[in-house]
Amino acid sequence: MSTNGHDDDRLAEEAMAQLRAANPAEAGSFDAKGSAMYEKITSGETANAPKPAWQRLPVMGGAAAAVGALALAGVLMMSGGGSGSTTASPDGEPTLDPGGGGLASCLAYSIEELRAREFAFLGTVTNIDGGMVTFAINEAYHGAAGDTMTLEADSTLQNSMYTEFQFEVGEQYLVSGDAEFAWGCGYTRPFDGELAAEWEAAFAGGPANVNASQAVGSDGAASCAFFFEDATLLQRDRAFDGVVVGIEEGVQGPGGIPYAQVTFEVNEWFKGEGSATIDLLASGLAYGDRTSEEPTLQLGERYLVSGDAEFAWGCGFTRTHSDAEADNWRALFGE
Amino acid sequence: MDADPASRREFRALFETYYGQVHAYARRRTTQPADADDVVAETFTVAWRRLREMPEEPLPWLYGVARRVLANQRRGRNRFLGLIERLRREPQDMETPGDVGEPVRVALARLKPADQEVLRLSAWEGLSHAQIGQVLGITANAAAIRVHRARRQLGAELAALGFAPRNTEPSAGHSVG
Repeated sequence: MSTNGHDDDRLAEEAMAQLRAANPAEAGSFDAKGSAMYEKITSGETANAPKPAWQRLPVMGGAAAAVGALALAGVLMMSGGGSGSTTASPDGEPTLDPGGGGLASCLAYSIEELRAREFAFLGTVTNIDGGMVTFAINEAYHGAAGDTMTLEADSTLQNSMYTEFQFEVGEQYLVSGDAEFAWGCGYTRPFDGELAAEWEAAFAGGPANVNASQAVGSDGAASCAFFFEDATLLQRDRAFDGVVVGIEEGVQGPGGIPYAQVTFEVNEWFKGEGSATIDLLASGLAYGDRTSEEPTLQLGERYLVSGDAEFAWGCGFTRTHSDAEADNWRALFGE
Repeated sequence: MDADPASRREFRALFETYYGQVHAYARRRTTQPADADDVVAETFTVAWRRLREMPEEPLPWLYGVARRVLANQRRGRNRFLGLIERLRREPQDMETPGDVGEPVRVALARLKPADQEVLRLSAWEGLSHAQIGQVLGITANAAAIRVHRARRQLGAELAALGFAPRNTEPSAGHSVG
């Protein structure tokens, strides 16, 4: 740990100056390329525009070679659509689904991949406008804020290569996906009670329930079901200031997911049980993949902890103690 | 999206004003110009559909959409290329644009992705803490804390590489990560 904050600040300022100088692209102006893009967007052409290469591969000539290579490597493929079984390559990587026609199209459906989606909910279709489908959210499992969501579904869900159903207004669907897109390939399906229970269990426990090893891509923050903010913190079942006095790894939680059971000695309750100690489940011990604000829980260290049910949430909802932040939490819950 | 003349005018103004900035944002985070074009097109397609929801200050909103589009693009690409890469045994770096040999970029690459992004938003997009908060969906206060911490970490990493004055030991951070 540095002993001189002034030096740290000076180093930081110099580093930022170097970073600013290393800017790889200055903002350009609205040019002919931009003008062409504008025309395409406003004419609706972009909805059917060619996808980037990685999205396009299933229907490109190169796809056959890719699928062939996968097959040569002994990668198992599943049947297409929403009811397929999960398969994996020998080292466990999700495979691409060749579909009934032999073209690679889908990322194989699995609970692990489902958990990696940015949102998942049970919803009723209230409107279909071209490729955009609006859902009234009946039950949000993960990352679905608000009462409705309007999602792009044109490129996946209205293509029989990816699904075995068509949306109908008034019907309920289990929907998951990323960004503006409802995913096909089993990640969005007509309502089924058993499946709904499976999805609910998959996301039980909030953000900390997503195993760190399943955080996909380099953008770890996307794995958080909720961003840390005061209003969301206030909704947690409990919040306290405590010290870790015990850690038991390898505890099996809902869905067979391994957790660490962490025992906290509570210094101060902001909300919740009021007991002297409490045992909570944490997804592994590494929350660090999600945002820069999360600590790796360590014996003897003091934290501000919040969460629901038997879980200590990650994603900023459990964080290293500081007097200033503790004051914020105390004031927030005291209001 | 209804294509009434007023909406078209509004969108045209939005597009012309922010196209260059959104395109630069995408270029700074992609290795291929075509990928940046895809991100910009997808971002403004979302903006066109949601024109009526556009906040008073559109740029952080647009960056937020672009960020999610980029994340989506990377996920799909990484999954697919991960398979192909292993089969071909040809390592590819799809994450770090630009000259990775530049010391400050090496230092930046050593930080957590979330910390890298707040620094890019601050140094390259020139956003305020409040605007960074809007892009990332966090409070301005949380953004300020992240930027402050990430700046110090970048300085420590750069010092550790020997490319900046170093009078102190770099901070290891308190049990983070």
